[in-house]
Amino acid sequence: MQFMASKQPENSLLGPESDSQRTLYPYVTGTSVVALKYKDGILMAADMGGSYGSTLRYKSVERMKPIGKHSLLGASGEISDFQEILRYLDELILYDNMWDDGNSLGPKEVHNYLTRVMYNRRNKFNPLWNSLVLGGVKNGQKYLGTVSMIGVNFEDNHVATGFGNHLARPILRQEWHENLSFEDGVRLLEKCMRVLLYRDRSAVNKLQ
Amino acid sequence: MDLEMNLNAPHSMGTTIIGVTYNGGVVLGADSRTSTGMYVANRASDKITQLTDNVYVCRSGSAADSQIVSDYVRYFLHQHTIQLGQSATSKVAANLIRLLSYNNKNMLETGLIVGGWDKYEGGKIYAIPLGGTLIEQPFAIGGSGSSYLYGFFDQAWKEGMTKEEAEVRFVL
Repeated sequence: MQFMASKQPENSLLGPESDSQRTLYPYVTGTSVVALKYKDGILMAADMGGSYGSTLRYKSVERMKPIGKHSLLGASGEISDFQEILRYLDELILYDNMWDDGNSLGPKEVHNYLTRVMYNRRNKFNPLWNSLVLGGVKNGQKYLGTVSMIGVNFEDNHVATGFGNHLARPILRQEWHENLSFEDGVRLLEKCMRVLLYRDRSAVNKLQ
Repeated sequence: MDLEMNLNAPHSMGTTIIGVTYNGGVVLGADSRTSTGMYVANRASDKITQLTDNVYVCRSGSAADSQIVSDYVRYFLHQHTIQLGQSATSKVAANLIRLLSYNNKNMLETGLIVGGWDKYEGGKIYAIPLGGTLIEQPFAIGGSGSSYLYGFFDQAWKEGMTKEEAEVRFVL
């Protein structure tokens, strides 16, 4: 019952608004995701921890999932919202496949879809409490973008969420260059994840 | 004076619930105390509720919330079983609970552990904490009393136990 402190029962006395969801509080959260572009595509890493407040409750949470044929989605923040996003994307990919027109949704399209979803939810004061990293390769074109909980989105050669922004990106800014080989990219990501393990309280040492 | 204030507090369960898989299925366990503030409202409550013949759920958190969620899911699963023509899988039960928990996350205050056996995947345990995350695990603990058990489970758990081991070491 000690976790009940974060819930405010007064919300339900707000009258008709109590039916619709309002600002949520994250319960089970994931920590940073780090990703970079390398010569042949995208490399992404996230640990497998799910924190429940300050305690590291779950140690085998998958926070990265492939989307369609071309993309990889990683998320930090509330895990239940991430699972919901995966369901939205499942539907999106399904409809895309049903067209059966030989074209498939690439990372740029999925990123745009996610941006719209996150921004619209934020406008209704009912955000999906996630920071997302979307990377992929389509027709040889590499794409790496990020969307935050409030709908801020951009693409870059290397992105990170949460703590990763503060700890990993400076390393990436220094050491990233075009045409990283696969091994170099992995080594760079490992370096970032190690720093995060040292300095991020909610990191675990099991990676995806 | 103290007693009065406390009796108006919502019935909530100061609970420990456990679900463990073993090499033939699952074992579920729960304590039996329901407290309203400091008073023990029911010392013989049954926190393991049946959803179908082969799927049960351990309830923790608000007694009312967990009861109504299990009631709804039992109802849906009953219809699902009729439509499907065979017994529901534990994954379906867990997902239904997840849907209710997630879509009403602002109003519900209940953590559940779904355990069941089906012919496709064998024994499975799914944890659905506050917020509606669905996590499939080889074992799950929940409720306010579970904090004391994390260390024990981390150290003593292993895959592929027999039913006796699972029952004796963990649940009992």
